[in-house]
Amino acid sequence: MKKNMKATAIVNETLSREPNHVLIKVIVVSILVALSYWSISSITDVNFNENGVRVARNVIRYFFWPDGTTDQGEPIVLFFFLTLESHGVPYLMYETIMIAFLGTLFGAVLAVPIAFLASKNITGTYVSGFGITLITLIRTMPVFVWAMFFLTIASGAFAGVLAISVTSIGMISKLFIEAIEDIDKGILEALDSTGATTLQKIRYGIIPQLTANFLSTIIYRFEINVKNATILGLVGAGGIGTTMMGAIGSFNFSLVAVCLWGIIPVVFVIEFFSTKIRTKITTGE
Amino acid sequence: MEKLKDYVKNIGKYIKGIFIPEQIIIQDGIVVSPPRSVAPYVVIAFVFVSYFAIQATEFSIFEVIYKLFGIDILNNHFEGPWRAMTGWEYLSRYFFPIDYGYWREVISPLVDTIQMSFLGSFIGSAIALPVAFLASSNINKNKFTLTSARAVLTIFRTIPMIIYAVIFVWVFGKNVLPGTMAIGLFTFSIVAKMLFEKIETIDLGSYEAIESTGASKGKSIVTAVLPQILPSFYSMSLYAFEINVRYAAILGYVGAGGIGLILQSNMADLDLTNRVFTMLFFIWIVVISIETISRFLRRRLA
Amino acid sequence: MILFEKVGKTYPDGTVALKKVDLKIEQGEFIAIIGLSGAGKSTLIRLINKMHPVTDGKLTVNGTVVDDSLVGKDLRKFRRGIGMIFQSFNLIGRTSVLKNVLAARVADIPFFKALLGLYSKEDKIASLNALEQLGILEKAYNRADKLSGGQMQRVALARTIAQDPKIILADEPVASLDPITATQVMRDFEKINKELNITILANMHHVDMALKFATRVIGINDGEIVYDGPASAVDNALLKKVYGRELTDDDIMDN
Repeated sequence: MKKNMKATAIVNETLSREPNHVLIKVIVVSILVALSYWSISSITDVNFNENGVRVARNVIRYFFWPDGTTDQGEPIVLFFFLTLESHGVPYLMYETIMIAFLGTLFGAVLAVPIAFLASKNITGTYVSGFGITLITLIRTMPVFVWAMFFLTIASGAFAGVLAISVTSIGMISKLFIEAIEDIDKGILEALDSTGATTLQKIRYGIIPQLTANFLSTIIYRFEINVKNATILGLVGAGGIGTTMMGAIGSFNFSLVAVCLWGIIPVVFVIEFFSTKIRTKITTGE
Repeated sequence: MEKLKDYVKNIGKYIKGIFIPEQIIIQDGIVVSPPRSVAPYVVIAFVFVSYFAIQATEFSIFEVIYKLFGIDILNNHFEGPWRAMTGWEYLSRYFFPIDYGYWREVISPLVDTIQMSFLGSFIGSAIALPVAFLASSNINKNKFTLTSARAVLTIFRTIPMIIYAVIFVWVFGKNVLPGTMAIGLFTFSIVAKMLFEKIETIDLGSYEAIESTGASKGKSIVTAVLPQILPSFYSMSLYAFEINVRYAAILGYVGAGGIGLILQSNMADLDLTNRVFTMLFFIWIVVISIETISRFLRRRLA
Repeated sequence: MILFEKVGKTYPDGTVALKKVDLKIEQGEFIAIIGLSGAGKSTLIRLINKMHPVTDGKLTVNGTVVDDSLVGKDLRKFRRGIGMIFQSFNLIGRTSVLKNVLAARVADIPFFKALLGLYSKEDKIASLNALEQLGILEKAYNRADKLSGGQMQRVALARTIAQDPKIILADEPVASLDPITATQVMRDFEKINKELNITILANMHHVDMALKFATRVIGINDGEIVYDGPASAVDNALLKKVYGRELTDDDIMDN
């Protein structure tokens, strides 16, 4: 039956019923090709010359072997490892992490009132709609733009903290809103029936429902914030980015490289532990 | 009042209770000790770290109040570039009235931004797909290529996108290409990472089955594994595109093309700051629109 | 013909799974391999298509010596002639039943066609024929992961038939099915065995199913063959020898 197989009537009939996705595939592919073509057309005035090649070679060379000096003439190696006090890589990374830490903390605090404002079951449809629009407005603005604004009312690292706080609001308040909107009221009633005080109701009825989710979101946001904090210095808002921006301005490849070698392990380690802890929290161990 | 006295009298007990939960004696004199919670220790650690964080970042709420309202509560004599006026004065003088007419000049760089994001996301995702298989421990049994693929992805992912943009601007000059390449590299690294994590969770039974029919490794992968991960791959690429549009808006800050280029010049020149809100509004519209479309498509894919 | 000559298997971690197995299997036999889990049933089956390599002795399958020199293209060509069925069906999720069956023919088409999922009309007709043989043609365009367990195993069987094999190896093919569905699937095996003269080697944990459908039973205990003969000659004393204990309800599917 298998060799020289002849299609029976029913097989032929089934074959004719084969769903045809060709049209949709053609449409999707055409759209992608058209968009690519249109996007490529925007690439003009590319200025690639011998100088560019030399720069590229230097970037790679100094990234793996940063043996230059700082702008003050200090050897880069020393800058990377030893200058613990003020402007070495270890201190700058410490400052960067602290900006992210404080930013996350304030973001969480600021998110509480905004979340209440945007919760349907607390403020009603209209006010919550306003709250949600506000959150979207805050969230979609790049962290750089916030930093530039905050630099007008605060200086350096402090402006960075404020910018990170504000950009953190979106993600954290979203979590709060969900938590507020579906708090299990059954548990509160159950505690009521045991004669619990209000404080006890909050402590044993509401907080346990929130902690796992809350911790997991905060940790994830902290991870993102550390990444953001590394670049805030590019507009002058503190952290290791400030030094990097200076190095970029003076074409000091070695200095940029050691800053990156400071950022890479720190971000990696934070990402690693963040993922680990969050998995542990969600799988409930 | 009586109650308050009671609280004060027992305050030591309450504090001890936070760290070591009280033992509960149930019937027949059996003593049950509830497990100790880590929460109080976490809180203490938080307070401790916050103290150092406030020092490291020179956090001062008084400075903000002074700069916003011109009130120096503790008489600290803050210094700063905007000391001559308060934050409100600064905002209203330089950012208002909004220059609405500026929108005509916003459109073109904004379109550049979208084009950069699209092309970068598209190319980055396309390269990410094969590399993700190389970085999946259940597919790639070769320790050397697996480790190298992962190391490369980690390094690429942890370097901020804007640094790529800076480097590419050095090499290719100030135009749209550096931005596109920076976005492509970043997309490549995050999509490949998300994808290999996804591949490592899928059931390889069907892969084994196809391999048992005598198909080569490559054909078994494209036949048995690819259909299982493609929807996730599309979804991840769209997600990356969403993030990229937001990022692309600032890449111009270092000369990598797009709207960031004029954002920077307008922020820096106090005569032009009244254009900023017009620009931000348009950035906002684009980000929201692309997010909405992308989320719609991703829901369809799920 | 499959010929085991003093075949042994020791895993890299030192576990000895099979010891000096001698076995001769003619074309067209329906063989059930019974024994406790961990006795070496699965290993025996997987040696035949070199999913696991032989470490001792000589294994010959239809004239091909299955040893370390059988690699790459030769190994893939060799595997083309041997179908395999799994306990968990191992269908490709998120794709149609027909695509699953077509996947059996992917070994013969160029890589880019496999990548784009382009199959010839001949391949499609062959696959649909296989589906029709198993009475599941009307599900051809349904998603494979939306079928019931029995239907999934039939699709897997159709996939194997579409591969046009001489031998089908089945690793616990009915262990995750209920008794009624299991019986139906075993009937399908019986039918394929008789109509297409395909050799079938099935690992069976459930003794009753093995005795009911197989023509020859091989009992394995601790890596050694303790019984090899017709199903009709198997009695309780023998089963005790194979299992090393009295049979429990777990060893019988339909009780």
